[in-house]
This record gives sequence, C-alpha cells and structure tokens, in this order.
Amino acid sequence: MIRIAAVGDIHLGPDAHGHLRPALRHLAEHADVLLLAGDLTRHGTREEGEVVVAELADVGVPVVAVLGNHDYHFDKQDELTAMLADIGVSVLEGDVAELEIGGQRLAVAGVKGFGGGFPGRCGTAFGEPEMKAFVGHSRRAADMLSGALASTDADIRVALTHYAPVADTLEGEPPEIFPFLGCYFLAEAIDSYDVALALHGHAHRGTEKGLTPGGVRVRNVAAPVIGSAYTVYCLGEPETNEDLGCP
Amino acid sequence: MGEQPTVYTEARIQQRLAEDPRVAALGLRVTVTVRPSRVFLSGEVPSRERRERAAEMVREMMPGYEVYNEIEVTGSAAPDGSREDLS
Repeated sequence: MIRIAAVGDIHLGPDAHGHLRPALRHLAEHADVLLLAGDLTRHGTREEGEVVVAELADVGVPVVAVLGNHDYHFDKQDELTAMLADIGVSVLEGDVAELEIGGQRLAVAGVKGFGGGFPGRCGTAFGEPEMKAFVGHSRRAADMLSGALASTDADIRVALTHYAPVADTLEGEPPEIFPFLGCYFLAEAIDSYDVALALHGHAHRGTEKGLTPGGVRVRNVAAPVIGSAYTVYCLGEPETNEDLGCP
Repeated sequence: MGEQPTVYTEARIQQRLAEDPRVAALGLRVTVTVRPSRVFLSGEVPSRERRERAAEMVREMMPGYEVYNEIEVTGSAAPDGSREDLS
C-alpha cells in the first residue's frame, strides 16, 4: 500500500507565507510521498520560490513536483527547479522520479503538459506559426510524458501533470475554455502504458474524479477542487489488515 | 467608461486580474451592472491578501462603482483524514 498525498495550484507568494506549514507538519503520518501538480507560485518569481521552499522544506516525505503555467510567467522556471532541487524536491519535466515505498517501487512520470483540447475538438498544427507552436508544444509535452513512462519498469506508475489529460475533471469549468485547460495527447500517452493514477491541477473550477478513455483513474487535485492542503490516494496491494482500513 | 457594453468591461477586468502580478488569478468571475453602478467579484484565490488586492485593483479601474467582493479564499487546512483507496 502506497499512500500518495497530492495537491496542485497552491499559488504561494509572500502573502501566503506559512499557509501550508501547519497542515504539512504531520504529513508523514498520513502519506508516504507528496506530489505537487504545478502552479506552486503566483507568477513564478524568485521571491515566491523562496516561500515555496520554506513551506516544503523538511515535510518528512519525498516531494515530487511539476511546474505549472504560473511558474513560467517570469521565465524563471529553471531557477525555481534548481531552488526546489536544493531542498530535495524532484521537479519533473519529461522525467521520472522512482521511489521505493514499503517494498514496492513507485515511478512518478511528470510533465507540465499544455492545452489543445479534447478528441474531436482539438487544435491542429496547421496554418499560422502561432497555431503550430501552440499545438506543437502540447504534442512535445505528451511525447515527453510517453518517454518518461516508457523509461521505467516500476511496480506502480503515476502520471503527474499540471494540465488536464481528460475533459471529465474539467466539469464545472466553462466548456469554451477547455482547450486552454488540457489536451487529450496526455491521456493518449497515459493510456499507452500501465498507469495506476493520473494527477493534474490547473482547473480550479473542475471536479476531482475522471477516467481516461483507457480506464486510468484521473484526479484533479487543484487546491480549490479538493478544498484542503492535500488529499490522499492509496495505491498498490494492501499488506496488512490495518491497511484494509483505507476506505 | 461611457456607454461601452458591460461585457467588454467585465472581460477587461478579468484579464487585468489575471495579468497583473498583484493578483495573477485566472478565471475570476466579474459582473458589472450600470444602474446601479456595481461590480461583483467571485471565484477563489489562495490568500486573504490576494482577495483584498483584487478588490483594490477593481476599485482603481472602476471609480464610482461599488465593488462587492465575493471572492473566497481556498482552504489550506489538513484533510479530515479520509483517503481514497485506488488499490
């Protein structure tokens, strides 16, 4: 049994200093790993990155993250990645973090992802260079996710993105903006591998639960959706009777 | 702001709330009424301070309008101990 705590869209800045700290203090009692689904900052400044680092330092479990669109706004994504790496947080962009938890190997494959839309209503790399660049960015993100998933033979694979792989978990958002909230290219990548769970953020007004066309559980863990500092999912075989208590 | 249809004003405010670093919140909802002159704001932001800044920005943009700030602050307490079993 692996207990995965997850949250996205925490959007920290100096005005939210100490915001998550009380809730994270006892995290290790409830979870084995913390996954962050992007938008860690308000708009990606170094100053905000320092707040994120202070909130996440020494939470007592491994932390794996992807960045979100807000974290790219000031073009400091590499700096943010390095700042987080300094406190042991793995920031994934087309790579995998492998962890051994209770004798099982967990692989988290992560990428920011991008928009584009969903089957039958998706942008195409056609026409103006801006449109080709938009769809091309989304396609490359999905290819990176595929590459990451292919590179691991862990017992349990989890896909971590900021943008949504399916439209299910966008329910509640205006349908007109779905193409800015995610892209099915990500789901196609996820469905090409044996993935136990796909986590994303970005859609603040969406819903928590969804499914890929291939039957992989998708969870939107954006903070406004889950309404708390994090939420916990249990994966893998229960090992003890006590574990069976996971409802 | 003259007789411009309110939908453009609402869209302009919404864009500013997303693009201005003081708030940088996407997807806040903005409703403008002309008679009486009011602006209603709703949605969620991660901190109380950002909620106040959003209203301040709108007051600056819309002098003479009453601003109703119905924006909520996202919960950041630890979950209640429930967890979902996906095994």
